[in-house]
Amino acid sequence: MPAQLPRVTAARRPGLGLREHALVGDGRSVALISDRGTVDWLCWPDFDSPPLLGALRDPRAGRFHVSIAGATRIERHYAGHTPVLETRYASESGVALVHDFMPVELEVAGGPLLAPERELLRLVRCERGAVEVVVELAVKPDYHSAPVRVRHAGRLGVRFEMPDALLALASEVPLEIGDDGVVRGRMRLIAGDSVGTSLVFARRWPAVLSPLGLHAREALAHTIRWWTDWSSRVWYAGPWRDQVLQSALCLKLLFGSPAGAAWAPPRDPVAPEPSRRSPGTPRPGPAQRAASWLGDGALIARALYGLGFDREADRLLARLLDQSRPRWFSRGTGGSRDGAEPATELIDAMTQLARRRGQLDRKARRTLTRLGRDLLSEGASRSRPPRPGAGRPDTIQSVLRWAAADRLLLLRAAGHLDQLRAVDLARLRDHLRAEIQRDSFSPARHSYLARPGEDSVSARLLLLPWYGFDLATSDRMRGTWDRIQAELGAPGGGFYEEAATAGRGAVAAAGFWAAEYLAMGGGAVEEALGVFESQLQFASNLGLLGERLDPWSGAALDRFPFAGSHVGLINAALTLSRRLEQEEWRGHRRTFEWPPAQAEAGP
Amino acid sequence: VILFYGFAVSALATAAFGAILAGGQALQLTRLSLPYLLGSALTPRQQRAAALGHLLHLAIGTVFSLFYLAAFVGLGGASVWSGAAGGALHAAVVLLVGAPVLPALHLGMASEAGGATERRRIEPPGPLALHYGAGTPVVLFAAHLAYGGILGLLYS
Repeated sequence: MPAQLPRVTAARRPGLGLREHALVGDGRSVALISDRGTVDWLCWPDFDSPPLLGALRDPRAGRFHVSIAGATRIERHYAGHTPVLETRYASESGVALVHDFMPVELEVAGGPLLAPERELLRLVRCERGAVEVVVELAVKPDYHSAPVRVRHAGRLGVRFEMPDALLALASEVPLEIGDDGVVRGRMRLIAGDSVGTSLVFARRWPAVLSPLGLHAREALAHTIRWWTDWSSRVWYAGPWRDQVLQSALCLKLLFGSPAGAAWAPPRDPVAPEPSRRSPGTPRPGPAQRAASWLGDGALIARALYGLGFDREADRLLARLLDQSRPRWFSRGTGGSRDGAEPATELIDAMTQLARRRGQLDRKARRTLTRLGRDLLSEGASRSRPPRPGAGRPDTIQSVLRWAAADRLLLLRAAGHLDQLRAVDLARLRDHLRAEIQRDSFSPARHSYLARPGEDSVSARLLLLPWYGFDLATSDRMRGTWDRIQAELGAPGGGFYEEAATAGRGAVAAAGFWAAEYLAMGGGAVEEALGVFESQLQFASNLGLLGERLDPWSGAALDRFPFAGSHVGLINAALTLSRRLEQEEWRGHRRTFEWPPAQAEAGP
Repeated sequence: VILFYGFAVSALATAAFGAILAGGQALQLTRLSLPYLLGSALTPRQQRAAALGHLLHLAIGTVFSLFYLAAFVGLGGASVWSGAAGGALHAAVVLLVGAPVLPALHLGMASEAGGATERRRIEPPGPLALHYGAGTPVVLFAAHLAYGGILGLLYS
């Protein structure tokens, strides 16, 4: 799925504290920083490049530490709604504030100024007393499998020369290279002093270095200003504004580009990524990677539209169209993954776009027509008896196909897709609906089933109303919800995806699907609020959510942070806020109803 | 006609030079880009630096072709081999003399002695331009050989 973050489980790395990591980035790459001030994960130049710092998975695989010696208390938060991390360290002798961030490129009238290809800045300011700053950098590219030559370059700092790239560390703290190749430095600061450390990366051009000092402080101010401006564009003003903004920021970091450049997908968004694969593990094919990114990208585009980031969502959709494949329904994504998800998400996102704009461009119409033809052709083959031994698709896969046919029919009716026959689409849609309701619903258990003929449920069934397949208020959905609560409810209010995969932990997004289902009418507003609030407690103190979590301890499992979970949070918050507004409006209407109903019924 | 031919020859040789350097960059043998270095000496703006750099590179290629032409006249004739030999000499001068003195001449280039400043931020090439990658001398040598060889061939 989205960015290249390491698949680590608590079982594999006990006490790892994945949830205690902060995310900083600039939309082209991200770094994970532990609560001790160590960058444990950094892939440059791209999300999916081999890690230059990979201590998160292998303690010998490189780290970048900046903090103060003898810290007894550490407080962290982001500077407003920005990805600039502020960490305040207190020791017995003093207090220091550290800012960690990837600077946004400075722009002037003639365009952006020369800037490093990638940069991480770490600025320390002593606020009180005296502190000793500690800097330590060990670069072991690609899990210490790639060669690196470390060399001191005078006032230019320390160079880590790799066969195809350069990493340059510049610091106002005096640095020394140890026999083990680790660069270390210590410096005493008194109140009012500040020092900066810059790590820049160059692969294509001669490196652009960071002058630190005043320039670094200006970069900090500019970066905070840029992200604050960006965050202020969110129109959402509901009760969970902070959490929604943090989620939007997380999506932007994982999929965007801060200087307004084209939204670029991570090249390798599905596990196992090359950056975290063991030697010899096959890479997922490009088609599979593109499909995974597309599925996530379309979901994110819809979340961005919902928050008012139309420009970013438009760019994202344009990239999605460029990378779509016309035979996803029939051929899948090139791996074991079904292609209905990326295809349907793309069709659905384009339907939203057509509704908003009233038109679709030629490329969009051509892509949707090809996908529609593929859907119809695959639908024709589905109506034939399955081959012996061939598995039947999951219920949600069939629902996705139903949703694709439904949206294409809407687009056809609006005059956007003249080359698809409405009667064919309608026939397929009705056939799929009948098939799902016949084979994927158990009258005895009064619930939808995860797969036809299998007596199990999946939390993904809560998405049926979201796709418009069934009403949240229907008896079938209520029965399904009751069963999901009973069978998939995890301690602490989380939800497992399926009973068979409960051992992998609860799925963070599933709780938000549940909250949204309830907010759509599946339950009382108080019930929806309760479920939603209980999911928020699984976020880290910096507001980040992982893919899965240990429901007992709340520890993040698997990928962290995870864009899909943040999409779930945004969608649930938007739906729940609308529900709250409706309830409030109804309350007002009751208050001001005239003549009052009770008066009429009175004696 | 002679002027036009001379300009076309130098443009072709400069284009070949640039193509070999760009190929070296694409193959990750070097991070050296002469247009980037030339343009960034004039402006700190990325896009303007790229455009100016290419124009300046073409102009400098034309000027250098005049030196080659003078050398061919002095030698009594041009050939691929004499051109390539001139290219080799040219490369040696660039690597042994040009690279070390470049930080002093380039307005945007940092130096090991002075460090990076607000205006001087570009990494210096270092001895034999090896800071830009271990393959830089080889790529630069090949580019100059091609440049001189093409000039020698077309002026012959």
